[in-house]
Amino acid sequence: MPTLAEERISLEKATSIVLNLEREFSADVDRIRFTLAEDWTGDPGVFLRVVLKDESGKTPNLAHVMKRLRERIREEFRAAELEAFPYVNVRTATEQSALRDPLWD
Amino acid sequence: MSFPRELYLQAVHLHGLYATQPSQAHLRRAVSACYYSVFHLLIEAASAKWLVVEQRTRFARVFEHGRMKQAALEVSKRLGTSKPEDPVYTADPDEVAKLIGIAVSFVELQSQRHVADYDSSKTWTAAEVEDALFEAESALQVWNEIQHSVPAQEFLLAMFVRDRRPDR
Repeated sequence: MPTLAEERISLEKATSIVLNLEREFSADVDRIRFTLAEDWTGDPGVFLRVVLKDESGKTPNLAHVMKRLRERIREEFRAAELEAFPYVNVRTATEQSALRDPLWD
Repeated sequence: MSFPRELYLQAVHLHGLYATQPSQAHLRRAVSACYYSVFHLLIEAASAKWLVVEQRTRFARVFEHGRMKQAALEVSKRLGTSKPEDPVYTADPDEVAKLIGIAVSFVELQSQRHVADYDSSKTWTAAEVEDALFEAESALQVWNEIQHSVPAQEFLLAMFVRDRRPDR
């Protein structure tokens, strides 16, 4: 049974946006995974998991990359009229290799 | 030093501690402190408008996390699509962009704080917390620049007054 978020958010649109951003940020981003889910207040959200290349995850690169990426995510969501807030989490490739979290692979 | 700045510096300290004492507790408390630095920044700004200084602490209790999140989302949406009759219509686009940035950071940090405080299944990393630190620091800094602007005042108003106009 689909969740409220899955009913309200176009999986096709969200996938397309994420794939395009992965390409656009390929110099800094290793991969982006996402899940459609409700946030803590029950509103639909897109929970993005960004794995950064190690060099891009260092200070101060991380802040610069994430600022640009967040701006682009918001622009793309607005253009696609996705009625969901994009929540962005980030890890470096080395951190993810150590944790081996399947949601981030 | 202001309380929001103290909370932010506490988060920086906890993030720094993680390098020598890797502990999820340090990272979780750092994320929580990042959120609360912005939360208290906004509440202090709104409460400062209450004329009787001795009553400001009581006044500050009217603010709720959920309502503040909705205000952040509503104002971001309105500022991006304002109409001529709207007070923010003629606002400086640079101030509008900065306020939207603060509102978005607030919503993200609130969600992260919820996970940090209540979801013990999540493992936090130093990079995630550094990202949260950047979001909080930017919000504190940018707020100082635009706190007296129309968009910033719209945000404070929306934190405790729901807009009931039919076209909203």
